[in-house]
Amino acid sequence: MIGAETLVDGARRVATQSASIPALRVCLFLFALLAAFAWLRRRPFVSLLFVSTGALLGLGYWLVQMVSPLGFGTDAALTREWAQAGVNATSGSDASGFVVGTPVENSLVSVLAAAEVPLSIVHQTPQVAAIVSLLLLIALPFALIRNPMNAAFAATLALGGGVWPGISPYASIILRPPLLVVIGAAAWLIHILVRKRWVRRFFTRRRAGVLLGLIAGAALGRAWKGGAGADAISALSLMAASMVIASLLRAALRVACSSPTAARRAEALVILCAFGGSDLLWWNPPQTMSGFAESRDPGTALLKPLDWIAHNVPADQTILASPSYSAPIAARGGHRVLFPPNIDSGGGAPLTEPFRRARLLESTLRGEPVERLAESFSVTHLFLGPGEASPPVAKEVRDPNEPRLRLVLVYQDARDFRIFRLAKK
Amino acid sequence: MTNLLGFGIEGLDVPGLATIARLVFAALALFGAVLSARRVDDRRAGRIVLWVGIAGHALAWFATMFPLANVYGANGSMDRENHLGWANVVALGFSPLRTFQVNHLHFEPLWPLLTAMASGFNADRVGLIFQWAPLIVGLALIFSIRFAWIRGMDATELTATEASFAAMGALLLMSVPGDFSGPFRNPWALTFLLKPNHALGLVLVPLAALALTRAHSWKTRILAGFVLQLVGWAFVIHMALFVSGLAVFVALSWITRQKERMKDLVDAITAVGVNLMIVSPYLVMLVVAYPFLQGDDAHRVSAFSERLIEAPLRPGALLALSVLGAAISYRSGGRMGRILAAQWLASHLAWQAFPILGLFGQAREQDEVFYWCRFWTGLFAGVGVFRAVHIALVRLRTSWAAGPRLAGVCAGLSLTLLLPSLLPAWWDPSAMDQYFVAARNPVPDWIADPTTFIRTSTPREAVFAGDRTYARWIAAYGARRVLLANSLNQPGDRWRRMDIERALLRTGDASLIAEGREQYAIQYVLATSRPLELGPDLTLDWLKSRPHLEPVYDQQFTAVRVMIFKVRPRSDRP
Repeated sequence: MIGAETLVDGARRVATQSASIPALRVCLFLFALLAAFAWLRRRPFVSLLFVSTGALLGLGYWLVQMVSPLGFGTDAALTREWAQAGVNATSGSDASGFVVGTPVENSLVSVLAAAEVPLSIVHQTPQVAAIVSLLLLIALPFALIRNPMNAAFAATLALGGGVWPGISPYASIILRPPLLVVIGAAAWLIHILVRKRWVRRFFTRRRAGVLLGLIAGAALGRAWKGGAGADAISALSLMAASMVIASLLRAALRVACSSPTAARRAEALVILCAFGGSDLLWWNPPQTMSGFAESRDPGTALLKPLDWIAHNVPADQTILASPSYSAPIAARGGHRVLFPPNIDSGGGAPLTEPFRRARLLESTLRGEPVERLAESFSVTHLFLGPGEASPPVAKEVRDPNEPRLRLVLVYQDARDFRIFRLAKK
Repeated sequence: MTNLLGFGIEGLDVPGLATIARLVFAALALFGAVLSARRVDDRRAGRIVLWVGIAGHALAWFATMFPLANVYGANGSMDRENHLGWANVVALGFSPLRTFQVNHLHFEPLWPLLTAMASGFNADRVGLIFQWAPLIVGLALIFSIRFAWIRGMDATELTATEASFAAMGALLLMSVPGDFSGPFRNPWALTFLLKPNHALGLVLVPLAALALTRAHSWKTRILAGFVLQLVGWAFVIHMALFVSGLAVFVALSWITRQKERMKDLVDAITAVGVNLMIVSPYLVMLVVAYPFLQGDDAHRVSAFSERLIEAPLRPGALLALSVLGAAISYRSGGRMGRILAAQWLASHLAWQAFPILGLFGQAREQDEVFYWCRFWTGLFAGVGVFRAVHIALVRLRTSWAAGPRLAGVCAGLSLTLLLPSLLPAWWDPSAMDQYFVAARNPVPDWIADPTTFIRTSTPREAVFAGDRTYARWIAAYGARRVLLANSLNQPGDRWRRMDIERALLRTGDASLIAEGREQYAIQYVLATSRPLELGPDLTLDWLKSRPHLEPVYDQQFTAVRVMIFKVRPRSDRP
């Protein structure tokens, strides 16, 4: 296991050097060349193997660089999902929302965390989703197309994103892993349907219509969504269209070319070009994918105090922190917080008792947290980051009818992260 | 805030506008596909495809240009600001053979002349002309290719539709969605929006090919040479690339033992010879003003980079289709088909030559060769799709194969197949175009305010010396000429100019200042609080104390302080 981790770390160190990108692209191009050559030599499955290996390498190169949850801190919805997953991992399925007093927010990653899947694996969900989608794209043509040669040809085309250049679903799936569940369900449904004779007959008769419908839908979807990359539905529609085209293209080439060898040459050229123009070969997520650059940063400095919280603060206790630290405390420290993260665009449930929360924060920062408010929200610790002033030591009790707590410094590090325990006087 | 077309753009939903443009295009293309499939003949199908191409270019242009407060490329492209400066000074009535560095020979004189003429020689209208130019040049390209294709290719029952696909492909298939993250960014935006002057060369190329196709006597050969030299005046690199394509055309003609191979050789040599004769003064100007024969480290390319596969392979399956389109055109398009297919091959060979040129530090103008390569790939990809669909329908013996609707059905299917790859269906300038994002912002106050003063308060013949970095903004936004500019090649008499500049800013040598006034018409000096090239010890306050400089503008901005001085004649000095 240690050996495997060292291997992954080594691969990550190589991959994060931008000078290695040309090397990766040349490598993938060589795989495409080998695949085309294998196809020419009547070795369709060897050809598919080369393209699959290239695709795995192209995808893995970028996936291995992601060390923090993707979208965390850059995308409001994803930040909330990761924060909820962190809290679910320590509190189990009966957890409430990651902001104390709010309802639980369900997502694929939060459900996995609640099901006691280790958090380190939950954090890899986008990577796993991308790899599974790749495997699905290799397998799906064989489940849908009877002729194995046609299926292999369709799979080689689909892997890189199909015959339309620069379009692939991987970026969308990495950002929205639950799509994989939808795609899997759709694939399973289609797999069941194609066994029915009437469905096969309908598809054979209306193949051109299905193809044109898929392309038109994808083009309209892409036009609607915009952005630097294709959305998953459009990209998958075009991949499905590529699979439909594969059989038609082979049939057309067989009748159009003067000999079977010439037809194979044309097919090999199509494989080379399709993979050569694929999004996998030219993908550059630090430039094209929001949040990718941030996910390459392990955030080591912040992880130390969060690890301390994870190991030293009971799961049912709440941490008081400024909104800047709410999401990291929930996602990486596994504890509920008093305020929603400041990246939040209002996607969560409305915050209850905002004035009481504000008063608890204000009294705590003054060094004399109100005891009944702290107990009401289960707040036991105050988290402060660099640049945030430490509360003064309270000297006198202002209101004897409202008991106050005192703050005890329990953690401080060289980066000036501090954690105070709210203790009775 | 208004755009250059005069419409208010404050609070404009820019992503919404781009979405509407994409959706309208996708809907139009699908409508065109349905309409084509219902139409009966080649001519009508060709017109539908042509209009889809026109609408696509116009919509993408509109979605990009309408939200801009400035000329496209402002705030971000030195090249574009240089062009604006060139056009401004010609619009003021100065020679198109000179740049905005006073008396400096120009190596792209045609475009400034055309834009100045279009503006009615009014510098205030040059910006607006620059915004419209990409649309006009793009449409001119579509019509030029279609015109040349229909008249030059051997006529078949598919020629009109094929010509429209060639025209649409050259314009809208030259870019793929991922291009914006590559080193040369989006070819359509960089060619048509940023450098419509270069695109003008592309407009003339099909006409040059047509003239050569029709050459059969000395008179027509000379005419072909004349058309070819127009390409050179528009953009000399396109002329050089086209000539290299003619070399490939002749070589292929001899290799494949064409019947007309001797005629091909004579025609090509004559046309190129006539072209060189006419354009030779310009080539001399180029050699004098642009030291391109000296290699340097900036133009080296690693033999181990992915650069070789960048231009041909990024378009993916479109490359395979362009191979098909070029092969069919070469075989069945007659002489015009052979000339154009040879250009396709030559463009790819030129691209593959860069690692070798890079060894000598001569891998220059890679971006232009990249766009040239994509232009031909896109053109033949359009043809290839149409031909592939035609072959499939005929060979698979579909019901349309022998019917009169064949051309229309092929056009409809091809349009639908191409739709996801056509630029207007995926173009999102906010996410894909850094020049668009930069030009959305107003020009910084420390450039806008002084240049407004220059434009409104100084005589049109005034020449500015001083800050060489600021010089291009003086020309682009102030519409005045300068002595030296960092953004342009240094003129041959640069040492003398530097002596005069030194006299103006440091020594105060009266004879040199007088020479500057007489020979270069220097009337003003502009300096900023940033260090000048002549030395960081030259402060604005020190310049203020010079007896031959009279401050006429002094403004402190957040970023920098800008001062403009009038150069006093000796008689006016205190």
